[in-house]
Amino acid sequence: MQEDPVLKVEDLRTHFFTRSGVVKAVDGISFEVGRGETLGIVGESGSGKSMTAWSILGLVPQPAGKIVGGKIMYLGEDLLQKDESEMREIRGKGICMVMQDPLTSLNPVFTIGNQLIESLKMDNKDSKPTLIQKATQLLANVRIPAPESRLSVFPHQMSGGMRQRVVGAIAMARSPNVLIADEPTTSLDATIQLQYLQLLKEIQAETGAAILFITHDFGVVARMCDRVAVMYAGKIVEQASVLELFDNPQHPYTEALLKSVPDLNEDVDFLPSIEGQPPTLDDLPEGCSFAPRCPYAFDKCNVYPGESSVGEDHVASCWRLDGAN
Amino acid sequence: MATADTVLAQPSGTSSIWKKIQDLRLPWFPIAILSIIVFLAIFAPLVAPADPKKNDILQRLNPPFQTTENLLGTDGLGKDVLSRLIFGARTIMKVTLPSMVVAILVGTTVGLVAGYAGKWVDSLLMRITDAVMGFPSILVALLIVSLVGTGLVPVLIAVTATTWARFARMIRGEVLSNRDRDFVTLARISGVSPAMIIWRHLFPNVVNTLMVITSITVGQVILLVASLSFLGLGLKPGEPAWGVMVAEGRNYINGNGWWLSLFPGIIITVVVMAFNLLGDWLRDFLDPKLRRSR
Amino acid sequence: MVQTNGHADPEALIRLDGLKKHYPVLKGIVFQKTVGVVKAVDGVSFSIPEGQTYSLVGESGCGKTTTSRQILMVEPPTEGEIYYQGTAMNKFTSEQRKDFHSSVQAVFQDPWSSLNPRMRVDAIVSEPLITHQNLTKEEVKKQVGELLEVVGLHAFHADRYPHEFSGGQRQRIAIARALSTRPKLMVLDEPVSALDVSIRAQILNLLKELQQTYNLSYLLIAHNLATVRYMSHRVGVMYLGKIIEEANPQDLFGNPLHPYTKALISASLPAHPNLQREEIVLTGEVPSPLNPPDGCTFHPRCPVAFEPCNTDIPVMQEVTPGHIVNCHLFTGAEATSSAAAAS
Repeated sequence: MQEDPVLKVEDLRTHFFTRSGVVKAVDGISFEVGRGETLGIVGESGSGKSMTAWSILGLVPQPAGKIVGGKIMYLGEDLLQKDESEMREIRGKGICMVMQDPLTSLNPVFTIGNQLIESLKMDNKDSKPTLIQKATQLLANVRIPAPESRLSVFPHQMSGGMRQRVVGAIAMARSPNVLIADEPTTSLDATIQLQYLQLLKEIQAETGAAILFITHDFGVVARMCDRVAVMYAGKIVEQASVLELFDNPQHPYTEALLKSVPDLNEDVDFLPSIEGQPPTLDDLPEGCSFAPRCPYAFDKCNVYPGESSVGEDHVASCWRLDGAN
Repeated sequence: MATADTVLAQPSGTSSIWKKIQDLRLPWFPIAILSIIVFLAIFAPLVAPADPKKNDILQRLNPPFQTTENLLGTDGLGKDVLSRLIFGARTIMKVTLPSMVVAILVGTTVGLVAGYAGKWVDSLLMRITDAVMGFPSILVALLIVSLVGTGLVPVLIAVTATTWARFARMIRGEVLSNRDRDFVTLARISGVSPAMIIWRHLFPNVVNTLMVITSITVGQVILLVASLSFLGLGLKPGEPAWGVMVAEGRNYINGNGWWLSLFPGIIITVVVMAFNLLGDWLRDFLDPKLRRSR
Repeated sequence: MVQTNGHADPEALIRLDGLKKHYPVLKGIVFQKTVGVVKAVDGVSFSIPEGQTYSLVGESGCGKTTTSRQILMVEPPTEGEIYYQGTAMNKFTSEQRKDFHSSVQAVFQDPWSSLNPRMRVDAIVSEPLITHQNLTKEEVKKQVGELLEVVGLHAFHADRYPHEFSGGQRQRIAIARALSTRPKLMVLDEPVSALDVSIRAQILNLLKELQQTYNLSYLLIAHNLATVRYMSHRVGVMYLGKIIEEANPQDLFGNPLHPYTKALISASLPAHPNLQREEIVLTGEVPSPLNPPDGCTFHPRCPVAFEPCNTDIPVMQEVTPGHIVNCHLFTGAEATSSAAAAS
């Protein structure tokens, strides 16, 4: 019997009300993540992947943005029913986020040590020396060499990879149950990225945190994730275990995306590409949002397809999967 | 050949002239104000009820709104306030505007060249700019007046000399932040000459700042002309100028002449605001992102 | 083993010979004193033949962008020569210099800052053209229209502004501009990294087609090794200002010799969850080019460093035809046994 998922999102809808109309940034998505599990959310610009993270944390930009429907069940309780002070308790402690640019995640005018201790102070009423010790330990946990000497260093004095690790340290300072990572390695060099991802995996093994990994990079997905949800124009178009997704993609978008990524180990003359560009959310077509770019589109596609189950723990939304065409 | 989807549909046919004007969303308030000022400047002798320089001691310090002869009252020597305001528009056109234009031209050119050329050219130009900014404008004016004499032209020179520097400094700053943008580097790579790079790439991107500084500076220049004239360094006493009127009225604020600083003060505020709004509109008008698609 | 110092092919379109770019580090406000040197590029030699793509790969600070800026004549080199069609670039007459600018163009990474937001697309695309040629307005308009069609846009896009286009389309506009003077060489600095994944293949395919149609040479700078493999005829791996290995893509990725190259390839994430590579995790950070280590600059992070590595600078060796590497594993007595182990 599987234990309950740490985070379970049901039919989440986050819409933006602008002068030019309603932008459905997140339009009815459902997924869950269990303890010690990593779920990848893959998508491009406009897919709604980052807005999903903000919605979970209750930080949707207002007044234009609003969560208009669905449930976010965290440890059995619906976050959307909580008020701001309750959410503040959860943010940073229960659910944490690391983002792409560590330079903007860290305050440039405070030392690393200062920022770590601020984070620790939220749960610990310890004396200063104890907090300093804990901060040093946190830095050591993220494999920063000579951690004691780094406490008095400013963010700009560190390299990008180190900064990202410090951000990770601050995030993990309060042992969150859920870590949301929004493209944390996009700006890092390849060798540094590898170090960071390995570190993340180790921390997850030690603390049992559930990780929601938002990325556009299938390599990261292959390396890090247990399960994957592919988003397009605000909806999840396919969801499966990572092996299923790579071996047996069912949605035309997933299939085309996987084929369009060049392979380091092969020589090809021509790279299959997807026509057109990702849609702008204020101008979505009727029906399936991928239809304008889909090589298999047919007349049924002007109505949005429901979710079809394709295999064990594998769902996708496409009319081709709905019995005979 | 891979085709990209078209982002926008084909351009539509021509619309009527009226619609085009509507689309421009002209800033009617500033245009109206500034048109009035220009009108008054040109037609002052026909519009003004009285001679702005004529003293009439018997009529001194008449409050406003009492008679049709002196609608806005009279000043300490009996001059009609309304007429002085109207003729003051001429001073604006004769002094403020030309000195602003020259200051902008000189300052912007210096800023663009210093910012783009860098190295010793930048250092040299900026040292000069700093030196000029360091001098209080009054001193500069004194210097010029001692060389050239008093009158309209020296005031013009003095005002220009002290104002161009702030334009130079700010424009140079803008150029520095734009100089390393990719499209500038790409222009250099394509072999575009420095003059063309400044004109095509840097100048349009500093225009915003230019608008803002101009708006801020107009009011300051008006007051600068006033202070210079007040010290006897510029316009002859009695010459109608709004700034001078404000300064002269300060003796009478607390009592028997409250209107003397008030009315010119109001008109200065309105004109500066008009320039501000015009600058705002111009900035938006020049911004391609905000233009309606054709 | 045969020693070489890069492929000094005098027939090549562009040839670099011992290129160095050092930046002095100055201290002091009024009187400045040189307290150090940043060796951004420290002795780079390679050549690019006509119609082919040469790629430079490496991590941040390795000097690949600086090298490309030298080739583009954005900055002058500190030492070394760059030859364009056999002529040394620092000996250009102003005629030749002008001609060079129309023959060598560039496309940069960020499609948002590559286009002047205040210029219309036709002005952007035609700028290099009107700088070098005297054409009538109609001729310019015609050429702009053709260029836009060639890159997959439409002629009527000419009177729009950059902000009306998506990232991929803006990159096409940048490519159209670079093509306008029918260049011989295009420097592509991370041309697709800032684009959505589904657009990257489109742009890469476009670049490949253009290369075939116009016999263009490319200097490609990219960190994504798979992209490099797809596009290149030859690849040079850079570390701290030097090329440490150079080969054609099949040899480089199939049989990497230098430990850094191996680490770089292993850091490239797998294409499939079951293809977990042996992960070579390098210790420490990339050292700063201000204070490079002695001997082989890679030795502090090298998993197989041995005696000469911390004192002697290795020399380029040709291990198999066309595959050169800069590593003590391949010099002298070690060479034969390592070469055997590598194959």
